[in-house]
Amino acid sequence: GLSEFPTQFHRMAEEDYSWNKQRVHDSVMEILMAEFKKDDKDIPYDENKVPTWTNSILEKTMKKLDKFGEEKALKFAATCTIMQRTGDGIHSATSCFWDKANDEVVVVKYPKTSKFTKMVAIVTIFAASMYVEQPDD
Amino acid sequence: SRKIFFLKGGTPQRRETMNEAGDGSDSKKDSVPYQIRPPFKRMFKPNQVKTLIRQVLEEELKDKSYEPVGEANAKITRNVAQAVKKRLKELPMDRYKICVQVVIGENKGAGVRMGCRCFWDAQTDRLAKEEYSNDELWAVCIAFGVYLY
Repeated sequence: GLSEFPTQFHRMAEEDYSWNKQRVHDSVMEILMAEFKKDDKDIPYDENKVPTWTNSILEKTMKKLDKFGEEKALKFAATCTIMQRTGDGIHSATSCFWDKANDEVVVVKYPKTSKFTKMVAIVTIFAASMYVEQPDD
Repeated sequence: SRKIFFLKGGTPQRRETMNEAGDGSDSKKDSVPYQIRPPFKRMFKPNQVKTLIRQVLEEELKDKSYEPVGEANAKITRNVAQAVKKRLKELPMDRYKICVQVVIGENKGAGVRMGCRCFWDAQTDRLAKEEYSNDELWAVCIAFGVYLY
């Protein structure tokens, strides 16, 4: 359905790179969907290709985050987990010790709905600000 | 190669010293040390953190199994993440922001791959990761230390 492919709507917002959790989430979701689909079909899980996929996803994510982090001076750490979908379960949890007002975690889970795809991907982005904003005297 | 850096330049604190006169003269009387790097003793140490993570994973997950239904797994994963963070907070490193991620899955033969990329200051920021598995489940824990200037 249309909700699976928001690319049309997000091209309009592409110019604005101020940090916004939802926009970052959607950008990364686009990257994941582009990676796991070929000619509108889900690609099968391939043990030999998984390292290529993780590298590609992370490189593209970093390029996108580079733009998002300019205004607010953010440092990023991102992880990408890809798992073959065999009915087994997977859980991910994060715990951070930082400045809640300025720092955020963005977790992107693929697939969006419980649609049956050949694999599951979780991208977690930790965005930490570099310094404490000091008020001007 | 890290060793050469320290031998050539002296201690990290001295390298970052700024001179009030601003003319590059090395008079100790006038220089004001602005430390924008943590001293080596107070840095995030990957090996130390790795052993710590291994201890926590073994403690928390030794007899656990993966429950197919219910909230138990989410709770276990959250607890492990919080336990690791708690232990990291006790380490002697100041001005470090700590980020911990724990991923736990059923050990039934599915293929898994985890990768990570960081966009940060390689001189101050570090990461440590560790894996654990028993008959029922596998777990991966990754901890990032990000310095606050």
